[in-house]
Amino acid sequence: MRIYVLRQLVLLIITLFLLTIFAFCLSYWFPGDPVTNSSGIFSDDTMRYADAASSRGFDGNILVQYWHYLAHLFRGDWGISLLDSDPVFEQLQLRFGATLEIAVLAMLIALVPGVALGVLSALNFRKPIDHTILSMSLSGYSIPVFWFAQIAILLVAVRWGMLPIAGQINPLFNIEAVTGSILLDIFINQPENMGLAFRSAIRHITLPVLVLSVMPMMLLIRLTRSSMLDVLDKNYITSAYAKGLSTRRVISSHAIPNAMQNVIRELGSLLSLLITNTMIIEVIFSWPGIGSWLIRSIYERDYPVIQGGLLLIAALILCVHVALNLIHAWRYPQVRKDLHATS
Amino acid sequence: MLLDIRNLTISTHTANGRVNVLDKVSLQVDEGEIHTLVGESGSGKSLIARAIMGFLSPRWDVQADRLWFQDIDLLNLNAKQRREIIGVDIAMIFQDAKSYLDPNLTIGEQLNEAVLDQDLSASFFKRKAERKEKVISLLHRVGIKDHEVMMNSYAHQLSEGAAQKIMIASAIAHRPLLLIADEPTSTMEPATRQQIYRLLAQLHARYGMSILMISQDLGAIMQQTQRLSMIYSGQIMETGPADVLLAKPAHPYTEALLNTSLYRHAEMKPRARLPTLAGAEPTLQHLPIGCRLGPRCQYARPICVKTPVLEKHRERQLACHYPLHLEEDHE
Amino acid sequence: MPRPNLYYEERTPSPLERVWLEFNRNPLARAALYIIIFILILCIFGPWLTPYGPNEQILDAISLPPAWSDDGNIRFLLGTDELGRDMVTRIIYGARYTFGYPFLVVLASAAIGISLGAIAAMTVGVKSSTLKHLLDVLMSIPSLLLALIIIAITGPGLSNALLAIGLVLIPQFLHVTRNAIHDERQKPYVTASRLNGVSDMYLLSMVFFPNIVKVLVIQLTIGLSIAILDIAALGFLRLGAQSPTPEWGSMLAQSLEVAYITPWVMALPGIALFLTLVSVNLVGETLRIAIQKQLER
Repeated sequence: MRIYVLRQLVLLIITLFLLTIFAFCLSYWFPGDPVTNSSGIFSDDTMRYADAASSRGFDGNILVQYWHYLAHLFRGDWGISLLDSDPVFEQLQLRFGATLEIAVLAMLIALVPGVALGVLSALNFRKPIDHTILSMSLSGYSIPVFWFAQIAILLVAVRWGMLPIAGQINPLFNIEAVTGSILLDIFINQPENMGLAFRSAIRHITLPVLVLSVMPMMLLIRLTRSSMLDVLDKNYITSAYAKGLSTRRVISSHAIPNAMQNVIRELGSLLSLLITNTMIIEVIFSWPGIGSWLIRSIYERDYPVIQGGLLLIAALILCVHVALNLIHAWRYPQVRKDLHATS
Repeated sequence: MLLDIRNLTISTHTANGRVNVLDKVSLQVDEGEIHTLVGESGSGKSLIARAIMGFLSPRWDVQADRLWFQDIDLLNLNAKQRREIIGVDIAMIFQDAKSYLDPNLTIGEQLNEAVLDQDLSASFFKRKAERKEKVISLLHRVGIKDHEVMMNSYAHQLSEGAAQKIMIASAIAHRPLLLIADEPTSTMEPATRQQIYRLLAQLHARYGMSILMISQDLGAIMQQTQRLSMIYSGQIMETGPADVLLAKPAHPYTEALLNTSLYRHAEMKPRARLPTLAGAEPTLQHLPIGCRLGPRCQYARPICVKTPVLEKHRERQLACHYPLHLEEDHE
Repeated sequence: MPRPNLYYEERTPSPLERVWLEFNRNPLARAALYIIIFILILCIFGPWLTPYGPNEQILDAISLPPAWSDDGNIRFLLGTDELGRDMVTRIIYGARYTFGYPFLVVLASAAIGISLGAIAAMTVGVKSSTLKHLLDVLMSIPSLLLALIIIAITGPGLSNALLAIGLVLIPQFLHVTRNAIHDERQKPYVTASRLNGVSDMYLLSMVFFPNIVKVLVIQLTIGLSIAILDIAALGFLRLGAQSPTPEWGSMLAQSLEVAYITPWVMALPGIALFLTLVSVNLVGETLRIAIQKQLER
């Protein structure tokens, strides 16, 4: 096990290292001047431009430049935005919190019904209830999220006026951003009308989180169902019945734990889906997260922001994947055995 | 009579319509008897075992004149009543035992499950300790001395023989009256197979439970077998005391199987041709009518397209229009 | 003495026939198949079927509701948008952008990805395992994000978006092909062929390919679904097809401002997109089930 953890961590570090090389190269591949692309300082600001160029080692060869790039990266100096001269790193920190807030909440909301419906569907294999759940998940999985969000806004927010359309909180509440996550920020700021502020924030967050949770939930239903069906065919389920255990006991202590093993392995694809949708949802609901900032900066050609945003999201995905692998190996003994046999 | 099956018919839908996979199978197991059911793979012998346990999925249609365990009708039980019998009075072990162990739980945890609450006498708080004691004694009974190591192992760390011992341990947890063993040794090496047979024989001798052993090879049945039943393609061919059947097979199928096994090799001349049954087992889509052995039987005559019924001939029961060797008995 | 043939001949349906049987068994799946064929026809013959040009503005018919509404006009079956453009025409033209082009792109990247994957699978050793790890990493990053990176370099636009998605799909096909061949390689029948002394080329085309083609077909439908969704998403984010192009995603983006007054402008491209995606996913799912059944036999 220890060897496996070590191997995974080493692989992670190597991959992250490759990722920084890629991000570094981006400033050359983007149109325009690499110094501007990486630091966010235009060449007409002669003084600072010269500063940036020398501090980033642009007088040296490509290796020196990369070395300086890494140094800046770890110092937290990721350049400034070409548009509004905000420091990229600080902004990303704030927006990262906001993104995580809706992504994690949506994931949590998707998790329980997704798994439950998947199990239910598998237990009623080829019965009407299975067909209903299956067609629901297939069509739910095919709804383009941006269209779904628009309909939700049109119906819930505009037609019925139940929830606000966009933003994190009513701007009248003066909440200073600390973590970026609005619910945490209210808690940290402790404004005098905290109850009202929470109410407003929750009203704002409900719609995006619900819309965002639909697709992962549908995918989770399908993953859980197929994995449950696999497991229910296994011999150890038969032998559990042969011991005289009740159906409920067999399902809860043998079938579901084993089915979750496959689901955990597939969670990576769920994560991809979640991240893609989070970016789109952020744009639609004007949520101040990484995704909306990244997309805006792509058509504004704000290269330091693109570079930083990509680096952060990709690094996040890689770390989560390694974490999933480790959980998988830690929780499931026979995976460990396979790993030892091959390594 | 512990287990009494009369005319058990199991059918299923195939592309070519309804097929009786089991055709009017009758089988009796007495108290304290070791009964071996022999048939080639695909002859439906596992289906019988599963029908007794109630494991068949709904696509199998089960009908029987009688499927009784003691005086309980196994066909009409609700889930709760079934649980009071399955795993308590009837237990089952399988071939390929490893795959019948949950890969993600330790052996100890799985054996814990086999010990039912009703078998425990201690108060609620001491139950855990008592349960563990029971599990350890179960492991000792199947000949595993290193119980600590075993209880913390996972299925993938065990050998096939050890896994089968665990299955036996969990099967005998409640002192069942009937143990169904579905080819428990078919994937094992001969030495391990003998070990498992010896263990089963010991348990049989000590607790007097009946064993319904399912085997696909006459050459590898338990020596302690008291009764033999031959099944071919879903029809019972011959049933009787093991020594009688092995000495004087009356049914052509029994004789053919005996000839191909090692039993009779001593009588054979050197360089003689090893007798085999011509042809192959019919597939489910192409079951012959009448006696299903018909197309492969060297004694078959036109009347064989009528299904022979299982009839009593002295101590054996036989389903054949032209039995062998019986005339000599009548002298 | 020859044995008489007692058994009547049973004909097993060929794999393709079985797939067709599976579609026949499930009316929804068959409907999905017909929808896809219908959309394909629209892609090819669309311009000859439409009454107006995609960007033709009819000034006396601005923001008309669909024909069945009281204010509707039968000349415009599904109404017009805020600039007086016929919705039917725009949706039909949009099929080309949202379904046709991604379809071609998927075919192209499948061709490249599968041949690269086959080459990668035939080589073994350090090179191969490094490649596997790199591919795993690449696969874990969402396709839309990768497409965004490429668009950030090349700039927005429909052709750039198509190029980006094509590039993104190649590693997926590569990965699937390589893994499928690797799985097959372990199987005894491949060993048997190798013992027969066949060449690598023969092994690839006559031994591996017929056995992995199922996996590839499924991957093709998955790729198509991804490509359609990503093209529409990029259009919606205004990074793909640009404003007057009747691509369904960008039509949705344009409808944002007027959706409150003329909801059909938003509903129609969405429904078209949804139907396409459901059909593609359903056909893929049915293929998967049919192939799984064949494996179970």
